[in-house]
Amino acid sequence: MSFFTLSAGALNGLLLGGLYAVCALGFSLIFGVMGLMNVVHGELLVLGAYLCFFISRALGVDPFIATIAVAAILFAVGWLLQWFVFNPVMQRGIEPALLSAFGLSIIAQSLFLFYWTTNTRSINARYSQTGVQVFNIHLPVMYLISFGLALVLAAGAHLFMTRTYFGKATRAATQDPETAQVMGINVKRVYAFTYALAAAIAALGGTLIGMTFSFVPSSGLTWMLKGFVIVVLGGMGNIAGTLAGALLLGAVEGVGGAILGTGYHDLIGLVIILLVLVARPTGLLGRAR
Amino acid sequence: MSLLELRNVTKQFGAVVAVSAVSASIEEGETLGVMGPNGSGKTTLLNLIMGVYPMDGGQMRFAGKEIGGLTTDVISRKGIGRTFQIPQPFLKMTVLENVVVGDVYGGGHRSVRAARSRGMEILEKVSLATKAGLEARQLGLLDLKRLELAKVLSLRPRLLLLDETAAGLVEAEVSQLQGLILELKKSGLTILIIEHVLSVIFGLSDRIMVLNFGQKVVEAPPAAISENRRVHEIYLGAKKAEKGHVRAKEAPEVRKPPGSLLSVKHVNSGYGDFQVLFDVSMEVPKGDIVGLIGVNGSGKSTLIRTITRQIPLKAGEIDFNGKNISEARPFDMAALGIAQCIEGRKLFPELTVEENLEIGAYCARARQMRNTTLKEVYDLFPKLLDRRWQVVSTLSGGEQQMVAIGRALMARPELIMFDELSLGLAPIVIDDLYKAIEKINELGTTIILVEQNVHRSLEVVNRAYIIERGRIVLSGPADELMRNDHVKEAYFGL
Amino acid sequence: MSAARTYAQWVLLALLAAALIAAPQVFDRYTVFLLYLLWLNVALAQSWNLLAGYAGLISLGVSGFFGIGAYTAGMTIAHLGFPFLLGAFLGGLLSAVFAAIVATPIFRFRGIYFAIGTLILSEALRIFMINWKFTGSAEGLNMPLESGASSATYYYVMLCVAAGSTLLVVAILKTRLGMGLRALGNNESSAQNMGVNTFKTKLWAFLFAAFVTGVAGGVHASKMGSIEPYSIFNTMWTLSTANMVIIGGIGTILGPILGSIFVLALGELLADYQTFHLAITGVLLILIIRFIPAGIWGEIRASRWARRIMGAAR
Repeated sequence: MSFFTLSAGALNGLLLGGLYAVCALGFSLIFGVMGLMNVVHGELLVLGAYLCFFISRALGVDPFIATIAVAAILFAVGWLLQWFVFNPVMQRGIEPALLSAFGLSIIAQSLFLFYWTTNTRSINARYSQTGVQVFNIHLPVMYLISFGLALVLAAGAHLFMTRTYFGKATRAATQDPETAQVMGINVKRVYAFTYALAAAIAALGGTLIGMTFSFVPSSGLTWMLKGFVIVVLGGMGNIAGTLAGALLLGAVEGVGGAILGTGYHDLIGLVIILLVLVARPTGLLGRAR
Repeated sequence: MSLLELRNVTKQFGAVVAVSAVSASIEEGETLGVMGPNGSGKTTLLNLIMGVYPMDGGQMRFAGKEIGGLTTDVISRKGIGRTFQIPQPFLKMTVLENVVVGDVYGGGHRSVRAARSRGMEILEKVSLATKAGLEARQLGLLDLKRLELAKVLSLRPRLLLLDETAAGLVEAEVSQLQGLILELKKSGLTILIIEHVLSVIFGLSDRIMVLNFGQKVVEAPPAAISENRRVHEIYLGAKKAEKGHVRAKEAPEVRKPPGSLLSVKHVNSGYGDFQVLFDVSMEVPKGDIVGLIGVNGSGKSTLIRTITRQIPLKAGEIDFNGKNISEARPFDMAALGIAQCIEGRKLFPELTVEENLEIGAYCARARQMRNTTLKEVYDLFPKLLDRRWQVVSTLSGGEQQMVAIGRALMARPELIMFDELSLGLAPIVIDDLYKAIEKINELGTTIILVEQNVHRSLEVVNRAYIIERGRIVLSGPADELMRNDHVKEAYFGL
Repeated sequence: MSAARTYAQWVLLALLAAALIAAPQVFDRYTVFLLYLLWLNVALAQSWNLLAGYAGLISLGVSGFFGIGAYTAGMTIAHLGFPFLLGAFLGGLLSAVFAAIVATPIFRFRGIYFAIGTLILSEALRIFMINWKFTGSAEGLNMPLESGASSATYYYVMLCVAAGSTLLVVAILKTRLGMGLRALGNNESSAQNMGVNTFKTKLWAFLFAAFVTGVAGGVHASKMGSIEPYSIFNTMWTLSTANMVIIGGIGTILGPILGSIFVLALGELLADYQTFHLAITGVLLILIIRFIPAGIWGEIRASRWARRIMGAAR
């Protein structure tokens, strides 16, 4: 096990972490703002991937261009989901919302299966399978693009939360929904917007997944769990933390994968998270909810 | 050997010392009452005894054995039973089953069947036998309180820790409950009771311990406590008369235009089955400062939250500016022109001073004037200008209260309701805040001031309402109330 | 309750038992297989219900324990030549041991973290088993078919597991443990104040659920004849179990049974539209959570109609 292999693994993993960050950001926002564990987030990502696949094919455009349309569609879907499925059960504790999300997950997976079958898909662009050589290490272009996008997205989300009035209102509603209500903030709308935004971000995540890997109707679960791992590592709703957690996960997986073999790649994150939760039952950085 | 012995028990939450080196002992068969204003550490002390969280210092001995560090279930099984201020029944289990749980785990019966028959005996004692088959969630408040006692008895305890059992009950119910506890006392049980309803605690206790800011201030038999000047000070607030001349505000009926800004008419409200307010009426003239005075648990905060429509009305009507707002929702308040400065400050902890203030101006009406209002707030509280980029959780109590007031002002309201402004603050800080409030009122804002501290309040308000156990018992112009001996009686309840 | 009524109840029960026993002789193979699946689901549902419906612990790890049971049975049958009943029993045992090991850390997780923690455990197990060469990794295992084990045998065995788990849950609820479970499910801190050692109580329920789930997995593995990680450790087992309990009526004894019947019947009705069947179940789940959280049986039980029919029997 040479140092070179390890560092190659770490570097690739770090960049891949950027992709993870994009996929996990929406999940983190929803968890942070509303305390809702969005177990259907994986299906939102997969939906984004499918829509991008078909739209970019139908219109003959680059997948990233198609993503704009997909994001708009998912924004609307997200708003409707929060408004009609989650908002009504929010006050009843965590379980109803969690189980409803599971219901959505089942529905989504069966619809995917029905319309789009079990064929493995991936989104192809001219550049999606190419890579660059840096210090003799092969870095896939998609990894680099994802990393860049992750930074941009994180910065954008941070600015939104701290500079815009609505972003501040969202943070207020997160910390104390009741008081925020009395200040005139329509907390229900804040929640709907947050979910919609998270879904739109998931659209981008789906595109990245589709271009970097492949996907089938049941791919969602693995990605959702990665999101959970990242949120526990980095703190829910904490944008910088989510980015850091994602990069960390990517790097650790990269190194671990180099040592143990690729099959155990996904297992590493799960084991780590179990250990972390044992040590700190409410996560590393985030507030206890 | 005392049954319960506490020595220098201390507990800190972050920077706040909730309980500070409290020592006490209770002999078998005795009843020790614990009194103190909101936040004095009474419930924390109870929680420490029950092992809800660990102590930061000191020792606790029960029947000679150290219990510090043990978990709640172990302590319960040793024979200490604890009731909660808001009853914590097993809602979806029947009344009888509620009583069986304690018996099979702590009371000595391992068989559910045997526990059932003993359970019925206990229910007879608390007059709940006829309701044995009902689910706990179907019970009314008094019955729930009886069930709390029954549950605790099922443990066969040697020591009872009772936390504000009378809270929320009406007079007749309180005396029933008091009678029940008296019988338990006569049967030889040792009791530690926390109470705000003074007639109850004075009637049951052999000795009373008074806490303030986590420290034991005095411990004596009830008669001595009721005469004790320090206790009076803690509850009623030091009269400024000690330092100078007391001057109550004159009711300025001549100068200000008539007409109520806010009318509360015969309002009943509460939480679910728990009724808190009974036929409450209040008139707040435009431009006045109106006080709402009462002890903890009397319903003051509930009234405020009812006005802001956070609590549904069971009966009655609320009018603001001539319009009926009974159907309004909480987030209409800002647009209507009603702001509240809530008990416990309730700032958004991780936002900065300026961000908290800005959020105050969220509603459309206030948003346009945001920058002007912001300047006005900083003029009123120059200290905040220095700290505008600081996250509010790092500010002192007094500064946080300023932010809370400022935030309420940002909504450019016609009416501001201040709930327990002086909680946990030093007298000098309170002086500054009260000066600010008077200034705000001079500039035209109507104010409702909720306070426990009677004298402070009467110095600044035009008129006041005294509320006790959800009912308005006394009202009138401040100068009249100031001279009124009944204020002391109605308030102190002796 | 009148003597006539008790007598009538016993007669009905006896008839029901007779019908259940006679079923394999009367119905065709496919129906018997369906009924077998029904018993399998009832077994999983009852044990999940004890945890979720009474103790308030939502476990999303059913597939993990199911898989452990299946593989234990599979390995002992295939490599050690154990009879399938023994294999299934060992499956339950190993499942319970695993539960005991993870209980200490996992019970520290509060609320939602517990649910996700169990989900992660199962997922981790799944990924691990896909890679573990010792158990055949992705290709799985093949077991020799037991000569005497016809589909009727599996039917009866699973019926016993289902009946056993139902009766055990009923029994547990009548004991001290049952009281403690229900108490902590209602109000954990109040339960502690009543002297309930919540950790130990939760542990017993958890072990029970793991055992039953493991045995069911073991029997199923043997019936299938060959198993592989993708289907045995599939989260669908968890989702369908939760589904059946919630739709049928969480926190009741009859609820899981009714829910299992309902969902399986629905599946048969929509057999031509396989994928819609799943989607509809999902929609049902959401609607039930939103509008009738007590589930079908829960609502029936609470309705005045039912109270009149069953009289003041308590």
